[in-house]
Amino acid sequence: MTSLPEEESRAPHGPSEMLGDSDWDDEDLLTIAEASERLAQEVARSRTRARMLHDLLESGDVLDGDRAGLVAQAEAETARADELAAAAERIRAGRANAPVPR
Amino acid sequence: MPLQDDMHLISVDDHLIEHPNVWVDRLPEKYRELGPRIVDVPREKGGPPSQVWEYQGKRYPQIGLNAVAGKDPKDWGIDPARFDEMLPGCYDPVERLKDMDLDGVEAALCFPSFPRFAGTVFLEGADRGAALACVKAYNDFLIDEWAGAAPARYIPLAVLPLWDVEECVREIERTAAKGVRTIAFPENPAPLGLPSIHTEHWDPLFSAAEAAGTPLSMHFGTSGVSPKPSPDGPMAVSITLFGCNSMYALTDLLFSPVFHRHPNLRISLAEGGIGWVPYMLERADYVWERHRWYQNIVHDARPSDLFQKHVYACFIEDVHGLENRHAVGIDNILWECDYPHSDSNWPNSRKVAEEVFAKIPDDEVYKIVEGNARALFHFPRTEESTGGLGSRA
Repeated sequence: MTSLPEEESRAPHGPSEMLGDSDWDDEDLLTIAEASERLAQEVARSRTRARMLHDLLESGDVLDGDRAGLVAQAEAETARADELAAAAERIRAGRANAPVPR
Repeated sequence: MPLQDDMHLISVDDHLIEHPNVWVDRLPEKYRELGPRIVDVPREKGGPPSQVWEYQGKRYPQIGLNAVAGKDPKDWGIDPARFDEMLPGCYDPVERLKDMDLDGVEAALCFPSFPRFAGTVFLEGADRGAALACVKAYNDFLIDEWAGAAPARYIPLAVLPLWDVEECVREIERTAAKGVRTIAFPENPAPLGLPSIHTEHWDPLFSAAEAAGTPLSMHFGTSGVSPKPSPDGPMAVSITLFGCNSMYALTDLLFSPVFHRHPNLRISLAEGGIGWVPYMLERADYVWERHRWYQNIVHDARPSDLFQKHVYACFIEDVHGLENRHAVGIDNILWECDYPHSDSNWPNSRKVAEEVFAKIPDDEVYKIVEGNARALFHFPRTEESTGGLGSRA
């Protein structure tokens, strides 16, 4: 009752035929590519910030009173970069377990 | 830093994608064939087939609400068309928690996708019995499977069988007993062919929501109408004007009998923004002062007072609105993330929020990002809540 005739259901559908009602036109999903790009950019930014902090710490220009705070910042940036990289890997792996219709 | 580490970010407007077996697993056998199910459709350019929903004999192409309407067909294939092309956090509540942790978001209110944001897809199809079973199946999925994965981190939202107000009342009562915290309702039912809010038709539904303590979440676009001044104008015009739907919805409500008949009803205008609210309230008060005497509108309650008591406006980023937050009402503003839509700032929502709230006092930030949402949705912190920073705590 609900399925289309065999010929029709197997034929490729052009975009105009597939247009249907949606609540909103700009509610695009974040794509895997876009999400991966965002993660990669953030990993790079975090690593850059961590490297700059390490360079500063090694430069000898840091006052003793500021050192502990800068070390903590550098560690936080490194941890954030690792966390973001792990998320990219998790998402890649998770896609292999995408649900399938029963 | 005004956004303190122990403050929870609560997003009152996120979205989930229903996995392929939401209805297959739950519908009575007699409705299983009619209910929503995923079918494969060959792609013109080859490759793995697209996965689309089919419901009561009609096909719906947007498994993830990735829109195609208005887009150049050459750009059409870039959106996810299969579950294995999506972020797992779209359809898996446990994976979603990990994405929220990464984003520094504590809790989320997720709107549906295939049913549309207010469940209006179930107005379609000739078999109302099947449609009612589908509404109930979605709500059971949302409560038991999605929110059930982490009750302290998901605010359950139910959809309603909008074609039958008495069934709506029963579904509000049923889902409230199961823990639902808010009800999706169209920003304007009239364009959907339903009675308007100026009639008495919806009174039983609004009374049931009041009695259950479940506010109505009205996401923009749920009236099925979008702003398009010129039929041949670019999409940028509509996208820029989307917030106008919330302006229409608010003004219609303020001059309707709804808040007078239902003094305990609360409304959240999801994704509508906040910057326009002060002007609209000023304008509504001006009109009310001068024009209320000869119209069938309530004469003893100023629109801006009704807003303060009944309405919550929501934003992702809105610099102008935050600068004018006291004119909106600190107690009437909610924060949102909009994950997994591309409008979201994931995975940097917390970082962006720190910047957005940089000049705002702590107590006000707390209300906007957490306190107002917890009070409105009766969603208190529990022992299962995290420390505010998600995995960074």
